[in-house]
Amino acid sequence: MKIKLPLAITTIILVLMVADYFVKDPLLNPLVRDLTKAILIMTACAVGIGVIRLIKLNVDRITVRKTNRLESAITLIAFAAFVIVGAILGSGHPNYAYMFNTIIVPLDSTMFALSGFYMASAAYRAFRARSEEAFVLLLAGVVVMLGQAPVGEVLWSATPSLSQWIMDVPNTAGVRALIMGIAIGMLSLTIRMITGHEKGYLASGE
Amino acid sequence: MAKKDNLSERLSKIDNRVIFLLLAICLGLPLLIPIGLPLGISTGTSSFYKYVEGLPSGSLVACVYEISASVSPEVYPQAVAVTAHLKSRNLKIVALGFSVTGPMFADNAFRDVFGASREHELYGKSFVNLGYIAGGEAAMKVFATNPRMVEKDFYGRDTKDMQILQEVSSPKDFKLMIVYSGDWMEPYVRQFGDPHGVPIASGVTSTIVPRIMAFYPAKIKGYLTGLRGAAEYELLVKRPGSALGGMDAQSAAHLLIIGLVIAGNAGYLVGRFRRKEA
Repeated sequence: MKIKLPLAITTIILVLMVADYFVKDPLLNPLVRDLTKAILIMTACAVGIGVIRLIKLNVDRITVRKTNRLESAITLIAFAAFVIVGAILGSGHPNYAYMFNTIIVPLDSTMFALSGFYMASAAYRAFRARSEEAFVLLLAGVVVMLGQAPVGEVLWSATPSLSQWIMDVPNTAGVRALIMGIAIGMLSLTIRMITGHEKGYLASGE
Repeated sequence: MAKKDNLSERLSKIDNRVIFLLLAICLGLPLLIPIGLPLGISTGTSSFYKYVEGLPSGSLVACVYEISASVSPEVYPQAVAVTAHLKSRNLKIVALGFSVTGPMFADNAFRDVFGASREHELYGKSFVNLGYIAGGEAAMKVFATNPRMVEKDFYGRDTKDMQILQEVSSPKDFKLMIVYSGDWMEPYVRQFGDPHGVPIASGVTSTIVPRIMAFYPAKIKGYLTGLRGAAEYELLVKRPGSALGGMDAQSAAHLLIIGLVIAGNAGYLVGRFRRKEA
């Protein structure tokens, strides 16, 4: 029963969801719409759980484990500041927008921008023509990089069209094959779940 | 001989600190002293622009802001340039976000283009910010079945009486859906494009573009590629902004990376040749 009931629920929900995509039915479509709304409620609850977990983890670090106390304190203070301002004034208030634009945006952008430096270093170390295939990859990478920046066209007028061709033809062919492969994989996984053969998502799977 | 060996080794083992310093100079210098290299318009941007140009004045456009702060330097300039274009064409904008930070950027874009957001006299008539809708793809599905599901806008105002939303009864009322994102487009194609026939255009980070192109032009009508896409759009709408200013820096950084790759390979190949000779 511990296994059969969740399997039965999964199968019923999956069949309804798949059917809703293909069938127009006055009974089925509103039912699935309500089921989907339940997902929104669960997502909101998940955010709540995440908040509780964040507070617990950082309070534990400060009081029990006594590791990274300063970082945890900063996290909790920043969290409290955003929650208080957001709850009292609303996230559309100019003060909240000011906090967002002057704290979160620069910090997050800086973190992302730093990855550019590591990517430059990684490209220098990893892009080595160790084989013919690696040389082709290297060449394609250089052409696409030049095609992405105005300097490519200044150096050689054909760079943008060559770069576009690489993106349009070999890249698109590869990505479409990848997407099709993923879709077929998902379809087979869905069939396994509907027929009860896939049990990996049931925690222990016993 | 030893000197030559030393050079090939040096070329293939440049210190990280040197690379970081060179990159910082390449990025910083063109921002201080712009060169103004000519910029061509790519296919994705041109298709995007032409599609917006082809929309009848007064049409409804849904703008989905999936912008997180980390990708905002690349994607936000696209949103500003496109919003300016939508405004100049008298198109009506319904902004929303399926990610938490998205509506904050919608608010910023309205302020940058219209000069104000909720305080503007046209707010609720020509543009609206519906805010964040939690639930990811499930939320998209619910929104697609009922685009008037949002009762309060981003600023907590009732949406019931808003003039702009009186024109929306189904997703088909949106003549275009523009998604600004640093993520894949498949959920939008699945929930809006395929089942409801909503035309989709996207403004994304450069890293996402290879995946977007698989859907172009059948399912995605046009796409903007990172900062370059934003710069091209700024050129098209004649509104120079931060993206155009960043193009020289991007050129210099790309040239440096290519130079480093060539140097690394030269060092590697010379070293291999010498090892074979020995």
